[in-house]
Amino acid sequence: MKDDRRLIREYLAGSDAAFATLFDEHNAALFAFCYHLLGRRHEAEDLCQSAWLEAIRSLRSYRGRGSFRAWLHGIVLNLYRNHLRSRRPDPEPLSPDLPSEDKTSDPQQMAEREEATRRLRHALAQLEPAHREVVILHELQGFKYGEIAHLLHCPVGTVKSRLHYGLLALRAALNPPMEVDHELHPRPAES
Amino acid sequence: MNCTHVRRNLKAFVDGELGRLARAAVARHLARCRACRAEMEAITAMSDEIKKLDVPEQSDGMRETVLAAARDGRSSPTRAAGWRARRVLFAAGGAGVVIAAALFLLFRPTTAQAALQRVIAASGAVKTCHMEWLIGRSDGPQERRILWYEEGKFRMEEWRNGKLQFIEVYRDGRMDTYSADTNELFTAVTDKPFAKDFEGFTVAAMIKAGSSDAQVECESVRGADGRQLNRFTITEEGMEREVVLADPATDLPVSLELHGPLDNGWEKYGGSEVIEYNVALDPDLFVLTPPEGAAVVDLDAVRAEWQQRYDAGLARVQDGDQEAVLRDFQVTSEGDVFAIWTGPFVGHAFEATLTDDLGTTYLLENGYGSFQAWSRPCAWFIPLTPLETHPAWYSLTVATGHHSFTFRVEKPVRSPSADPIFPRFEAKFGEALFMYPAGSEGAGERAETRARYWKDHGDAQQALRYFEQSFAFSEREYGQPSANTNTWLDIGLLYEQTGQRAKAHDAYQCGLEVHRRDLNRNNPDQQEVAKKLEQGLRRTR
Repeated sequence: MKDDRRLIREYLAGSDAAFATLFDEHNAALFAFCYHLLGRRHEAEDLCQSAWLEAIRSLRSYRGRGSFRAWLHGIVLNLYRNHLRSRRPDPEPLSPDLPSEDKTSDPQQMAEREEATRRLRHALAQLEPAHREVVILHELQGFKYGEIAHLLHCPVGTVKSRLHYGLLALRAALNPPMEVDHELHPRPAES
Repeated sequence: MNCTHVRRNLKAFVDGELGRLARAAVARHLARCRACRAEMEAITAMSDEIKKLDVPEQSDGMRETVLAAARDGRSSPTRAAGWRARRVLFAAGGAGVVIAAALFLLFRPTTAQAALQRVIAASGAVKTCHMEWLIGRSDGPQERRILWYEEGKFRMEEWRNGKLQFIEVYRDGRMDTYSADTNELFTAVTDKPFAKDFEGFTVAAMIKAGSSDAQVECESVRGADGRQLNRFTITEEGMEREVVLADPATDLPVSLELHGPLDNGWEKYGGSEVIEYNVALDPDLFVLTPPEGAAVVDLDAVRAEWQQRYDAGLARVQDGDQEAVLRDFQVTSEGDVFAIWTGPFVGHAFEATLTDDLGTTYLLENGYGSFQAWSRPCAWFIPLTPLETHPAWYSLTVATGHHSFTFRVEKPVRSPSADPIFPRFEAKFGEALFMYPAGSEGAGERAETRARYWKDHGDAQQALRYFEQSFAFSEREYGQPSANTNTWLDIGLLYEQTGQRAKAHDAYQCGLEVHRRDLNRNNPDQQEVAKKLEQGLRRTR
């Protein structure tokens, strides 16, 4: 974080190289955040670029409270929420648009892995927005509870609660319903 | 802490985000609750799956576009995107306004918060205190805690269903803990948890801990005795609510209540029955004399001795460039085996299997086959049926997806009782921390493991035998046979299968009572179980 502030100062003082370093340092994580929120590469790239452009414009207002990384994520969140408010919800499940990185040579394993990923992404997309944001910020972006609380302007307890219920909802969505053990369950008498 | 509250804090526990006291309370609960341990492993597994989600490569070109914009200090035309139009909405204030607003919200004290700070300050200034707490609903098992403290000294007694469980006394830098269940007194030098202000145990600390990230409201109410009181409602969204009644004349709390979320409201699950300040306390309260026959264990000496043993290790095995070390291997009088090992296991799923020269079938305590124990590289195994003859040697194999280590043990440490030596003893290796179970907690859980094995393998009679054994331990320990609705459903189905309709009916009834008391009862999983319990109840009417 100390380096980020120094780089920002240097950029504002005229150093393009300083900004390039900032960009290279944070872009991958920022794009990942955009992708996890949206599930589509092109939309994620648009959001990521818009966030950077907004960051450039607002950089003088960054006061150094909280990390620069968190500040950037806050910009993404605001743009993303504005976007959500103004578009119709997409009923279609997200389709994975990434090439499989699975090095396993077994096609069946690869297919199972892709299906599992697809189901998980779909379940993540179906979460309540407040829960999904926290799950992504913590599980995928690696923010601590206090950082997330600062980013979302809510108490740490709220972060804990949303993460807890978000994971419960994911498990419920991904686990098949309880099977009745017919060996132990005599057929109910006809009423 | 009961299961409901532990489970709400499990994710935070796994993430290392709980405060010290809450963490210790959860760890203690996990050491004795198989169901919550399984829940923790499920949470960890879910989290691991999420973390595997990766992202595609970005297209070329964005970097140059953004760097160009940075050079120009303005945005450049880019590919058409709906985001650009929406930037206008955001441009009015930018991120700076958001951050400024956050500062305002975080640091401006409310009137209620300021009043609560006065209560905390007044509570912290008392010379002595005597407090009694009751945890649990009136229609279920209850735990009573009695506390006395004065500067530098503390005593807490924990009673369950009228039976003394623990006494803790701290004074002069030493903590003595007596366990009535095992008739042992553990003594150790420590500066925890009693720093300058008895953190976590005083009235002030309890209120402070609950209010640091919470919403606080205050209103004036009339108490049962007619006097005017200030009622503070401290709410941690979706998690906990604390209600403090304080006397405005002294700012001292006269009562504290704890509430958990239920449906769209709150349900009280505990509260104070007595709070007295600045009373003369008997000095003998802060001297813990062990009862006759109690074993006295110097925990510092034990820890030093065992850490030396653990550091040396019992055996080392190589697999390629990796080494695993067997740190402990104990066998109890019933043939149960407790083992600790270290190596390249933390963060990996691994399988642990145990065999011996008698061909014994061993069950892994918390499941069959593999389990993920990122924080506890250890296991305890139980023979399918208790052993009468000790094996001459054992073979323990621990395998991850990448390495496999096999230890051969011919001279295990033998515990003279049905428990491992030094149970409830926290051993630490790096970030890994573990504790063996003890007494009825361990034995009850081991009975349940045998029960589940026989249930899964179709022997209802054996399953019932061990479930009933497990229930007996739990009843002695907690005042109820089981607090798990799934267990009641299982046992109900087993009774039905074996033609014991009346017992099945009782089991379904008990399960539904547990469900009604469960603060998580609206959870979809719990609802599903309750439905099956009701179906069982109707079938066996």
